[in-house]
Order: sequence, then structure tokens, then C-alpha cells
Amino acid sequence: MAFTFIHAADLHIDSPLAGLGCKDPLVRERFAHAGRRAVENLVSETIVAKAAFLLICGDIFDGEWRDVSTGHFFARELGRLERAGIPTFIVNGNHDAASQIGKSLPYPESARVFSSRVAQTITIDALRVALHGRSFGQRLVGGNFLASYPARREGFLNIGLLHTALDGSRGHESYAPCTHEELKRFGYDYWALGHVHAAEIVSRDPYIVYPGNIQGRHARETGAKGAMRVTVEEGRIVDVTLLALDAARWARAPVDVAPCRDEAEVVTRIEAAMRAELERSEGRPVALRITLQGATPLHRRFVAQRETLEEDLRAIGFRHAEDFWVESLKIETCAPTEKAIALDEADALDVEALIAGAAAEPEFSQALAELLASITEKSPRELRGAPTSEASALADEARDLLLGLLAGQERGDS
Amino acid sequence: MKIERLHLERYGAFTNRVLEFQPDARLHVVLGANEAGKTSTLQAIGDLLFGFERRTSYDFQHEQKSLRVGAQIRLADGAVFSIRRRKGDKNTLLDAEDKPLADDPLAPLVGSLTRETFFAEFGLTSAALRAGGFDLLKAGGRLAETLAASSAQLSALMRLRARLTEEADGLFGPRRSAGKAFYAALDRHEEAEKRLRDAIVTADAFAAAERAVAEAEAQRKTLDHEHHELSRDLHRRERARRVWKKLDQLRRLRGELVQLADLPPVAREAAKEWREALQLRTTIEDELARQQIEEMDAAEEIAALKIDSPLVEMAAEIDALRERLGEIRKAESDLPKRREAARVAREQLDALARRLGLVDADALIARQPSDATIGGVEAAIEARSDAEKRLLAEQEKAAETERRLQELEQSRAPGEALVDPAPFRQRLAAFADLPSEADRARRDRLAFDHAESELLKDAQRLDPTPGTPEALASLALPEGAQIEEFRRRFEILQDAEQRETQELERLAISFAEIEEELRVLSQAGEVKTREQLSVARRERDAAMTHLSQQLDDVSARRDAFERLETANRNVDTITNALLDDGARAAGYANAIERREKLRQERASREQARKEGKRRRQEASLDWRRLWSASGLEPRLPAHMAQWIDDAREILQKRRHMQDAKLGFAALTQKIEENRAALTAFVNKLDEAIDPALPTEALYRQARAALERLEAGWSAAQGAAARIESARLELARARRQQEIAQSKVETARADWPEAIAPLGLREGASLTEARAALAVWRAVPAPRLALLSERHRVETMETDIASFEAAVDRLVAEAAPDLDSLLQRDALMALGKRLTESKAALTKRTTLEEKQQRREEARVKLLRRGDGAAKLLDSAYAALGAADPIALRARLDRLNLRFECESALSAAQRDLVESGDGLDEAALHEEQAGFDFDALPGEIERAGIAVKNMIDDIALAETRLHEARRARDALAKGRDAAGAASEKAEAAAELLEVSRRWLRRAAAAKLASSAIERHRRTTADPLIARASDLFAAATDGAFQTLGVDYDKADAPTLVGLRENGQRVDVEGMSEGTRDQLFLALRLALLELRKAEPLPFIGDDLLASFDEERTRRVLELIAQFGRERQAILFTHHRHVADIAAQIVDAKIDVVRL
Repeated sequence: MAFTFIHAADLHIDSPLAGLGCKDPLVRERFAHAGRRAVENLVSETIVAKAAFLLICGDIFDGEWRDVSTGHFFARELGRLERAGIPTFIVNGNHDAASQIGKSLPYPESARVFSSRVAQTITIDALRVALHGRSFGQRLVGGNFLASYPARREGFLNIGLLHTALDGSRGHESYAPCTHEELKRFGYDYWALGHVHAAEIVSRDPYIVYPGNIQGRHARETGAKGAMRVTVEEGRIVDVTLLALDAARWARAPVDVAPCRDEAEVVTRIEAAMRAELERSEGRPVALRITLQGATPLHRRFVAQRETLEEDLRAIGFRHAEDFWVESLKIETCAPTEKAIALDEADALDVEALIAGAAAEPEFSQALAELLASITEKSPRELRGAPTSEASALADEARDLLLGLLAGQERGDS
Repeated sequence: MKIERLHLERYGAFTNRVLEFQPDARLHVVLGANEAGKTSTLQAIGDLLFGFERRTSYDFQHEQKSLRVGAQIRLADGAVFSIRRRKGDKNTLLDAEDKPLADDPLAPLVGSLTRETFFAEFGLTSAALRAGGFDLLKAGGRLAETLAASSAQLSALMRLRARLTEEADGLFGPRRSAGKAFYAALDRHEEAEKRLRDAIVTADAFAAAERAVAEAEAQRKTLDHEHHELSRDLHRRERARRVWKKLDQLRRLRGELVQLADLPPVAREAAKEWREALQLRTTIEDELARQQIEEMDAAEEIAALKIDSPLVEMAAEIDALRERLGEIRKAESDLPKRREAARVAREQLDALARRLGLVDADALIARQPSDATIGGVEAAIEARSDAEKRLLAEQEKAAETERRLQELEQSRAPGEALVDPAPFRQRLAAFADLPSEADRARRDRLAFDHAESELLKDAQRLDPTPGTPEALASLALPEGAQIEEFRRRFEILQDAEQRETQELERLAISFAEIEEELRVLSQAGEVKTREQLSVARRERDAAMTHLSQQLDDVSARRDAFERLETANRNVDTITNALLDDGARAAGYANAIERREKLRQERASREQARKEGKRRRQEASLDWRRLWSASGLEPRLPAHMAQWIDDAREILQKRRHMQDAKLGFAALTQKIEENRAALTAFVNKLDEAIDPALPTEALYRQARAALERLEAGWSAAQGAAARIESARLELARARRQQEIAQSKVETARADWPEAIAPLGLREGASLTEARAALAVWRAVPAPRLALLSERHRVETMETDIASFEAAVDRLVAEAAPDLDSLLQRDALMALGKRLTESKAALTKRTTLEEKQQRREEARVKLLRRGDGAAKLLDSAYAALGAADPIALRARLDRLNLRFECESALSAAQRDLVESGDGLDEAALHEEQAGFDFDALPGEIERAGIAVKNMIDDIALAETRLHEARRARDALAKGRDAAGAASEKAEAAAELLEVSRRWLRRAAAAKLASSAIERHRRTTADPLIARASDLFAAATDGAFQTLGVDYDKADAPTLVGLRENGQRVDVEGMSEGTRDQLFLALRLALLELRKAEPLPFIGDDLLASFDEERTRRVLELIAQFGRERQAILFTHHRHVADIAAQIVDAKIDVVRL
């Protein structure tokens, strides 16, 4: 007997996406509602794929999000699955446990939420499938969480639903920590995990799979996002494929500009990277972060003209598609290690050395700290961390900006 | 480097002049009288080092390309070389043989110096020294930077810093300002945050909405149940009342059917056919009798009709003649008119013939020429006439043109010298904006005054008012978000209070209604209730029992009977009252129940209102506390939300106004400057100026003067052009006159041949020809009239004759008795007779057709009568009737039985319908439980209760609907995700602005640090060295130089006297100041790291007395220890004083 099921996690419905810094209403609208569109895509794809059931492994809602209409939206979507005759099985994650909105939602009967008090086994006899799972009852769960999972059910396809950070090496906070070996000992056929936002097939024997979150929320959650489609034939898993369900795409394009001789070549390279991203997005709106890298004599010029260049790139982006947005331009290039340029004027001022010396003075660091403090003080509380975290680079940036602008003045740039 | 020998080979007035500078001298004094060539020598050194300038003024004696200046130069490391410089573009350095040098040995020495900087720093006149000195100190007194400004890169750095600072200021500053991008973004962020807060549907809000729905549903359910019970009871009573009479009717019909049971069983259809047959036979008999009478009447009528047959046969002919009659009558009346028209035409033609000299009309008609011929003659006449007129016109025109030319030539004024206005126009254009600027300045000033007073008014209009905008700016006001929070809190409380008040009002109204209802119901005396009836019945039953127990005792029997009687009367009274007053009693009981319910509801609502009031007081206290810091007494939060917006707007306007005032001051100054220039311009136009004129008027005056100038200029240009054009026109007019003359002659030659067809003589004039032509044109119309009238008269006469003949023939044949009448009258009489005969004929035909139809109907009737007779025979047999009367009676009873049967089945059907499908037995059983007399009252009471219930249900339904709608709206959400995204966007924007500002502010700060660092490492040694030099130059009058800081913390240079007194630069005497500038300049030169260039002063000491001159010379000599110092002077005493300097070798070079 052959069937497929869909494994999703980390929907974080209505959790706001990071700001794009974009004034275009079309792009903004598409990103603003991308989260819900992705959930709708998940349900539609599940129905279209005639999946036998849908698994959601935690973090349906965002812990801090308080709007209960979000819960009703999710319940409505589950209602579509029920009408299509597809059951849904859910374990709550740390966010759901912290969330107020998931508490008493009118889920349809076909949606089953695993208990948080004990680990449960739900069997689907017609398919010979046994689902084992346990919800988070609170934001943090004890170390014996995994240990409470039931033993393998013989003669069934055993699937474990678990919200975990595994060993915590994937950069997410360590929830329900456990190891690959511990999971393997249960003898399940498929571990449907949630919590880590990057999709990953951690192991194929048994299958230990993170589907990743369903919609990228900021520039660090890049690339296709969605859910896993798992194909089962004769009681064995034969295929696990990621379905892209996201309704807007975040992307990052590192561009090595070291070989470029001038800015025109740099722009050509960037455009090529943009085209590649556009193709990968398959018609979705894109927010692309471009990072220039490599040692280049143009480094200071980039620093000095960053904003102009960013505007130009945005215009180029819109030329490619109406919703192709260059989220930001990061300059991570460096000036090439210089051979001492013989100054043609014996007593010409070594401005570079002068500026470097000034930048190294403790008074300058103090002044920077004051600048940061003055703007941080006026900023909304939740934004205060951001500029401070970039403070260390500020001194270098100020130096490169000055030198770049000075060079620009000599060249006669505006 | 030092110049050891300067060779002025060919330069200015010099030819092969060599100046030797002693290598070990500390100071070279070049002494030369005025005009001896000091300045030339100084310039020659410049030209040697930097090349000749493109335009030189030193070629007045030698040709440019032969100019040469050369030198022998010793470097600091002791190396010596010679060079020569020629004037040219490249390869201007030469060796001794005039060959270009491969390398430029001067380049490393000169470095980035230019001729200008050389003369500003190394080769100084006293004016340049002073200008340079002020330059060093000015620019806002920022000494450190100004001193550092000697480096191009540092200047660039400073410009950059200014630019970055300006850009950063546009983005952010510690003071909130709407013009700064940061605060605009911050506002958007706050707004988005507020929107998000409003958009979020909290769990509590949703739970409350769900509870409201559940409560409304429960209430609705309870009411539904009650309604169901009430309706069922009402229904049963109504049914009982409905079927009561129907059951009675059924009983009655069954009784009647028993009475008719003796009749034989007969089918309804058979009985119906018999009755119809009986009826049919009677009808047929009546119909036959009526037909017979009609037949006799028709026969009499036909016999009376008269018809003239021969006349009818001639009908077609008579009708044709009658149709022609109208035509004939018209011909007879027209004939005289036609004859008169022919006569008139003939007379006209005769008259025309006489005018042409012919005999009569016929002769005229014979000689009539063709239309083409007349056309030809006419053309010839026109041609000759036109040519003559044209000639006359051309002659007049030529004369007129000639006269005008003479006038123009006379009116031209003798050549006066006019000024071309074009250059003035260009200059005036430069002032084009001035009036509008002046106007703008005036408007701005008015606008400022107005805006200021408006702002003050705005501030005073605020309620509560802070007084002036300045006072407002100094107030500590709460945040908008706090006010918003209070606004919502008050709104919720107010809503709740309003809701409770409305509910209480509604309850009060209902209460009053019920009270009124009760009052009206009680007005007609005490209301009897069913309870009272029950009591009375129980009493009666007791009396009855009592009586039965007392039956044996006679006297007791009487008492007991009386008691029973009373009880019976009582029962009857109450029953009657209930029967008469059923509805009233029902309403009364119902109203009492409802009043009790309302009382309970009112108590709970009042409790809720009290609680609301308490919370409102609490909120008011908090609200006052929030405002206590500002010292204002706040109004309601909704008011204050608007207040704070208004206050912010006032503050913002105030800031804008302050900015705008600066712009206004700049504009005013610009206008003043332009006005001065414009005044000079107007003076040039020789216009007198009133200095009190407003600027616009001054500009208008300038423009008017210019326009006058332009008008004079263009008038002169116009006059010349007009004369030239008049000359050309005269020549053209003379040519046209000649052409016209030749045309007249041709026309006269063709004349005799042209007029021949008119029968005129050869020499006839134009006028004669035109007259003859006019007569010939008049002939065709009367000629045509004459011919056509003659023809018409003949045709009419023939028609009349033929008509009269035809009538005569008809009369003779058909009615000889009419022979004596005129033809027309006879024809009319014939027509009349014919019409009468035709009418009689038609009538006869109709009567005959009717006779035929009657016959056919009679046959049919007889046949139907036979059928009916057969049916009647079977009826007599079946019903045992002997004659038609008996038969009819039997049939009537039979009919009665059928009707009873029908009524019975209809009544049964009706009962099924009225009894809601219950069968007769069930209805009887139900009826047994009711008292028919009490039913109407009970139904009335139940009806009122049901109606009240329906009202309650409608109210509950509305509440349920509203509760559900509110809940569904919350479930659907208010796009909180969208609002959150807006907030994230605002945050991103804010961060971006912050980053932009940080980059710029940090870079500006770094630039400042670098400049400061440069000052510390470079400028401070400079000041230390300058201090020494200055102290030496003033012989200790000033001990040192110091740096003071002015109010703006900008460093300024001061001299410190022995006694510690600090003297700023403005406070120094001119000589001291020059010494200071020299000290600064020399110190700067000493600090240069590159190969030192010679210092050359040109008459630097002119303003100094001897003592001061000595000290300065000593100073320069001291400087000359490391570097070459050359001093040009024309004062011998300078050379003498220099020579007195001890322990320093002074080299005096004479020019």
C-alpha cells in the first residue's frame, strides 16, 4: 500500500516578518501577509497531494503574539483539511506552550493534539501507522521528556513527533535536548521534528527530519521554506522531499568583487546574482541581501557610496520584477594590503595615518559610545540593541567612509 | 635650498645682471631705490622656480622667447647645481648651452607648492603678510584648523566634516524636530505601534464576546421553550372553540338524512338528467310558438317593397356622368378668366413692339433673337464698361501713392542719434527677480507677524491654555500613548455606563407601561380571577354537601338550601364576570407576572451602574495625577488627545517659524545689495531717482526708462521701412495704369460688330445698347403666356359640349318625364331614383334569408323534443310518478337528500381541517375538558401572553445576532499581522536612519579628532615656535603666545604681556600685529619638513620704527640660521640697522 503524508513545523503564524526598509506598497503587502499565505499553501498542497495525514511538530503560534484571531485563522484552515477528509496530528512546541491564543481553539474533530502530560500513541489502523508524540505543556520541559515516549509498535510504520533542538548545535535554544543515538534507540521509522528553522534530513536510518519553518521571517532565514512530503510504499519510507510553500522569499547573495576592476563590473556581477535569485524564487516576491566581499581597491569607495549604490541596485531589482526588493547592501570588502605608496610630496600630510591615529585614540571610542547613547536614548526600547551590536564595526566604517569620501572629492565625485 | 647666484640674463629691464648671495650670510638685504627692479627680481625668482606665467609683463625690453633667468642653487645636503629657465610651455629648464634638461631638479624641492602659495608663504610683501595673517586668524577664530588649513588634505577633511555634520543634522539631533528624518520615522513607528495595539484581539476580549453569545443563546432557548408551551395551550383552546359548532352541525345533518330514507336509491347523474329533460321540453314548446309569429310578420313586409328594374340596369352609366359633373362646373367658371389672360399678354407684346419700332406683337415674335446672341452682346457691353472704369481707378491710385510718399519724406526728422537699448536690457534682466523678492520679503514679514499672533492665539485657544507658545514649550506633558490609554479606558467605562443607563431607561418604560396597563385594567372595578371562581365553587360544593346532610331536618334544610342558593349565585356572578371580562382578567394576571420580572432585572442593573461609577472616579483620579507635572487641569482624555495634538502642532509651527526667520534675514540683505546696484543702473539711464521709492517702484522706473529708450529706437527703424515701401507701391501703380489704357482701346475697336444683332446703328452709345437689350429681355414672358392661354380656352369649350349630349340621351331612354329639366338637374333626379330602387332590392334579399334560417331551427327543435320525451318516460317508471307535477315533487325531495349528503361530507372534511387532523372522537374527547363559555376569555389571555413572548423573543434574537456579529468580527481579526508588519517596516526605517546618522556622525567625529590630532602634533609646536619668535620680535614686550577659548569654545590666539595681561589680536597695535604675523609665518616655514625654500620679504618693515626694525631684522637673521632669508628694501637705514646686528653675517646686495 502506498500513501504520502506531509510533515510541517514552526508555522509561527502572524509572527511579523522583519522590516524590509521598503516603501513600495505592493512588496510590503506581499511580505506582510506571506506567513498566512504559506499556511494556506500548506493546506492546499496537502489536499492537492491527497496526503493521508498532516503532521505539525510544534510552534504553530508565536509565543509573544496575542491576537486570538490568528488562532481562528488556523482553525479555519484545519477545517478545510477536515472537509477534504485529511486528519491532522499536532504536538505543541515551546512557543505554543507560552502562547495564550492556542489555549481553547475550536479545532475540528479531525485535528488531534498530543497530550502534554504523557506521551501518547495514536494508530491509524487502515494505514498501519503508529504516531507517538507529546506536546510541550510549558515553555521548558524536563530532561526526561524524550524518555517518556512509548516503545515501537510492531507491524506498524512508527513515527515520532518531537519538538526539539537536538543537541543544540543548530543555533537554536536548547529545548528537549537529545542526541541522534537516543532517537535511534527507539526503533521508530521516522522522527518528525520541529523547532529548528532550517530544513534538514539529519539522518536517513532512521529518518530524522526537520522540515524547517514554513516561511522565512528575516534575512537569516533564506531560501525555499515549506514542509516535507514523505512517501510510504509497503510500510517503508521511500522518499522525503521538501515542498516549497513560502509566499515570499528572503535571500542572501554574497558577491566576490575581488576580481572586478571597476564599479561597472561589480554591478554586472551583482546583476547576475540577482537574476539567479529571481529564478530560484519561482515568481515569489524576493527580499535579497547583497553582501560584497573580497579585497578590492574599491572598498572605500563602496563604503562612501553605499547608499547610492544600494538605491541603484534597488532600481535594478525592480527592473527585473515588480516585487524584487534589495533588502540591503552589506559591504564586507576590505582594502587590499597596501604597498607603501611613495608620497610624491615630501611633506604631504599622511591623512590616512592621521585618521588611523585619531581612530585609535580612546577619546574617539568614547565619542562613538556617546553618539550611540544619544540615538539609543531616543529609540524605542525594542530597537535599542541593534545599533549597539554594530558598534565595533562603526569605527572602521567611519574611517573608510572618510577616506572614501576624501578620495571621491579628489576624483571630483559629487 | 639657498640661491647662491641669481642671473637675470634677459628679464624686464635687466640684461645679463647677476646678483650674488653670500653663502654663509644669515640675512641678505637687497637694497635698491624705487624702480630699481626689486619687484622684478622677486618675480624672477618665482618664474625660475615655477616657470614663466603664460602672460608675462617682463617682456617689454626683450622678446618673449628670449627671456631667460638662471640661478646657482645649493641644497641642504651641500649639493650645488645651476639651472636656467626660458619662457615656454614645456622643456623650459635649460642647461648652460640652452639645451633642455632631461630631469627637473626643482620638482622635488617645490613639491606641491604653487606659485600662489609660494608668494603667500615664502615671498611676502607687507600687504600679503598682513592679509595672510588675518587669514590665519579669521574663519570664526578657529585657530587650530585655520593654521592647519595650510594643508590641502586637511582643508578637504574640514569641508568633508562640515558636509557630514550637515547631513547628520538632517537625520538626527538630540532635540526632537519634525524636520529630522529620525523623528519622522519615530513618529511612524509610534503610530504603527498604536495601530498594532488596537488591532490585536486579546483572548480576554474574545472570551467575553463568546460569553455574550452563549448568554444570548441560552436566553433565546428558554424563551423558545416557554413560547412553545404557551402556543400549544392556546392552540388547543382555539381548536376546541373552532370545532364546537361543527360537531353540532354533523349531528343535525345525520338527523335530516333519516327523514329522507324512503326515496329509492338513484344516481345523482340520472336525477340530474331527468330534471334537465323536464325543463327542455317546456323550453322547446315555447320556442316553436314564437317562431310562427315571426314568419307571418316577414311575409307582410316583403309584399310591401317597390323596385324600378330598368333604371337599376343603367346605373353604371348614370354614375359615370355624375362623376364628370364637378369637372364640367369648374371648366364653365374658369373660361372667362383664361380669355382675359390671353388678351392682357397680347397687349404687353404690342407695347414692347412699339418700343423697338416694330408693327405689332406678331412682328416682334418673328424677330426675337436667340438667348446666346443676347448673352454675347451683354458681354461686349460689360467688357467695354469695365475697362473704362479700371483705367480711371488706376489713375487715382497712382496719384494717391505719390502724395503719401511726399508726406512721409517730409515728416522724416533730420537724422538724430539714437541709442541701441540691447546692452541696457541685458543688465536690467539681472534684476528681474528683485521686485518679486522685495514683494516676497514684505509678504514674509507680514506673514511672520500674522503667524506669530496666530500662534499666540492658538496657544490661548487651547483649553486648558498654557498661555504663550513659549510657556507651552516648557511644560512637561504626558506621552500620547498614555493619553490614548486613558481615552480608551474612559471610553470603555462610558460605554458601559451608557449601556446600563439605556437598559434602565428601557426597564423604566416597560415598568410604566405595565403600571398603566394594570391601571386601565383595574378602572372597570375589581377584576375577577380564576382563583376566586375556584374558591366560590368549593364553597358551593360544600353548601351542597351540607344540604344533603340536612335533608331530614326541615328547618335546617331551609337554612342549608339558602346557603346553597347564595353559593350558587356567587358562582354565577364570578362566572358571568369572567365570561364578560375574560380578556381583562387575562391581561391583569399577565401584567402582574411581568412586573415582578422587571423588578428583579432593575435591581441587578442598578448594582452594575454603581460599580461603573466607582471605577470612573478611580480613573478620573489617575488621570489628574498624570497631568499634575504639567500644572494643567486636564479635560476629558478624548479632549486632551486632541489637545496634545494641537499643542504639538503649535510647537512644531513655532520651530518652523524660527527657521524661516533666518531665511528672511538673508533675503532682506540680498534685496538691499541689489537695490544699490539698481540705483546705479538707473543713474546711468539719466533718470532722476527718489531715494524713498520702494524697490519695486525703482525697478519699474528702470524698466520704464529702458522701454522709452526702446520705443524711440524702434520708431526710427519703422519710419525708414515705411518710405521704402511707399516708393515700391508708386512704381507698381504706374505699371497698372498703362495696362488699363491698352484694354480700353481694344474694347472700343470691337464695338460695332458686337451690337449689330440688336438692330442698332454703328455709332450707338453704351447707354443706347443697354436700353435695347433691356427691351429684348422683357419679350419672352408675355409671349409664352399668350400662346398657352389660347390653347386652354379651346380645350374647355369642347368638353362642355360632349357632356350635355350624353345626358340628353340617358333622359330619353330611362325617364322621358324629366325631359323638360336642364341637363344637370335631370342627371341629379335620375341619381336619386336609382338610389331608392337599390335600397328596396337589398331589404328584400335580407328578409328572404331570415325565413330560410327559421325553417332550419324549427326542424332541429322538433328533433330535440323527441329525445327528452324518451328520458322522461324512464323517470316516471323509476319514481312511480303519474304526471309531471308529481314527478317534479319527487325530484325536489331527491335533491334535498343529495344536498344533505354533500353537506355531511363537507362538514366532515371541514372538521378534519379545523381539527388539525384529529378525528371526530378525539375532538369530542378534547371538548369535554373545556367550558365553552369560558373559552373566549381564556383564549384572549393566552393570546396576550404569546404576543408578549414573541416580543421578548425578537429582542433576544437581536441581542444574539449582535453578540454573534461582534464575536465573528473578532474571530476574523483586524489584520494585526498587517499592522505588525507596518511596525516592523517603521522599525527598519528607523534603524536605517539611525545607521545612516551613526555613519555620518562617527565620520564627522573622526574628522574632528584627526584635525585636533593634527593641531596637537603640528599646530602646537607651531604656536610654541611662534611664541619664541614673537617674544624676540617684541623684545620681550610680549612674553609668549597663548590660546584662549571664546564663548563658543573656539580657540583664539592671544599675546601674553610680561605682567600676565592677555591681549587678543584685535587689541594689538598694527606694528605688533605685523610682528605677530611674521612670527607665525616664520614658525610655519620652519615646521615644514621638506627641503626649505628661501624666505623672501619685500619691503616688509616699512611700518616699523628703528627699534622695531632692528628686532625684526634680528628675528629674520635668526631664522636665516637654517634657511635662506632675503629682504628687499629701498630704505638705506634698514641696510644700516641690519649691518649693526652682532654675531650674524649680513649680506647687503645692491641692485
